[in-house]
Amino acid sequence: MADYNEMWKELGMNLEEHDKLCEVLPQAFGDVFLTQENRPEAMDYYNFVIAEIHGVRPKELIEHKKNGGKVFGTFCIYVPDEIIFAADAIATGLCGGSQFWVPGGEKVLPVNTCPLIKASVGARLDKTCPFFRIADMYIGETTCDGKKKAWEILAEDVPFYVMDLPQMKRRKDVTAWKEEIEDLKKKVEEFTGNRITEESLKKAISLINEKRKALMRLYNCRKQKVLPISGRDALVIMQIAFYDDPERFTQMTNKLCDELEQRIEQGISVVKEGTKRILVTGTPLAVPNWKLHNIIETSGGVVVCEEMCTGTRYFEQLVDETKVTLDEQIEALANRYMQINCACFTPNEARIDDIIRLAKEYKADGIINLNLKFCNLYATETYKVERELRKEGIPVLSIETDYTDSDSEQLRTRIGAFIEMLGE
Amino acid sequence: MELDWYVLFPNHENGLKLYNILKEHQIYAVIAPTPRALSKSCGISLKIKEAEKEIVEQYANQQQVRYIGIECLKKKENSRRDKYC
Repeated sequence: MADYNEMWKELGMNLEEHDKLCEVLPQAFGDVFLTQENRPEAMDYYNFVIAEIHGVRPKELIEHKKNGGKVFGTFCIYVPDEIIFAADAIATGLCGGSQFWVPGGEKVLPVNTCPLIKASVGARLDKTCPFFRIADMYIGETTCDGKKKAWEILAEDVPFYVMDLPQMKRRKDVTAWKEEIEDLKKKVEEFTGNRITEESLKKAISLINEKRKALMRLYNCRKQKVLPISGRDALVIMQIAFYDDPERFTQMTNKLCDELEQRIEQGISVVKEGTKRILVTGTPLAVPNWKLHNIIETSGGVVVCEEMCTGTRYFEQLVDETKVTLDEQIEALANRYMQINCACFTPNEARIDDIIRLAKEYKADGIINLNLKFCNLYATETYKVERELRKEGIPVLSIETDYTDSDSEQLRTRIGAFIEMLGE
Repeated sequence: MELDWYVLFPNHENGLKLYNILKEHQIYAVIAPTPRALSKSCGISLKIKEAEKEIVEQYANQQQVRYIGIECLKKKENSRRDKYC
């Protein structure tokens, strides 16, 4: 129950506005998470992180800055954290998952922009998120048109660097991405004053790979018939992965996995036998967007996997750690990041292959294909996703929603009916 | 009326200290965001069982954990409320 007002004031935050978020978060978190029965005890760490989300970690980042370090804010999983950590800097995710920030974004963006972009811009311009205030530089990318234009607006307010992500996956595109990573390396070195060496990059690659391995271990537990953790809990862990100190996050997630594996051995499941297993695919669910998972898990289903940026896309491939020279290491980074299958690529059949593979691995009874309103890329890909899943005989429900509560009842009806149908 | 009981702290360090002590002694405690109705400051609190209130107080005092108080609220968490952030 610490008083962070002084820290927020020094960050130039709008305390009165920010207080409105502080007011609703405890109840929303309590409703979604603390109502669950038989949660793993190690979830208390993640409860702690959320309870202190605008306090403890921002304080650590400020301390890092006081010691001469830099903080980079990122929005997308294509930006390689390894380069940032290799320069003794810290990469942090930036808030974008609440309706609270959307009106601020709508002051400068068209209303028909996706809520993730509107919330990110609103959080910066309204001065209501400490992470947006602390980051010395933001690193954006060109994964959609809405973002590209939003970066131009944010760049008037904060140092901004944009990586140009190729939109095809030919060899020359991977080479182009490698060059982009080299340019990012130069930028980060120049901004931090720290040189990135083979040793520092090797260490950073290992640091982030360890985080990925911990998440793989967590997700492997979700493949089991005995389900030791809910989708809501797994989602909030994924969301925290973007903010927390990577080493601590890895340690705490491995600790949780010890408990989950023990639960599996003992046959302790968080759901009743026969609960329908749902894989969700589509656009990201940034913190504190817990709406979809909560509705699914209070309508007779349980989420077993997220084929999302806040899910398998974040951790599924490791960076090759055997490379020795900087050139080889950067090539290994380019190879790894270009394996992520985002709808901004064409063609993007590999994403559909991923969904089908994951549905089998996680023993999903059905798939919910989520689109955040006005995300044209994922909305357009829906046609092929649905068609291919039906060919495979996998039931799919596509929904489009945003961060507001207004469609919750409607979603409950649709999702409830879909889950009921899976039982037939 | 069902009540939820919370231990409130001046900072998270004391909250985590008591949490670890209680866990060591197998006493129920869940880390939770401090409900707005109990404090305007944000951060962690500990949800405990009413029946264990006295023993929690004892451990806190014995181990010199600084805490503001132990307070209760009418239980109102509802997973189907559909009011998100």
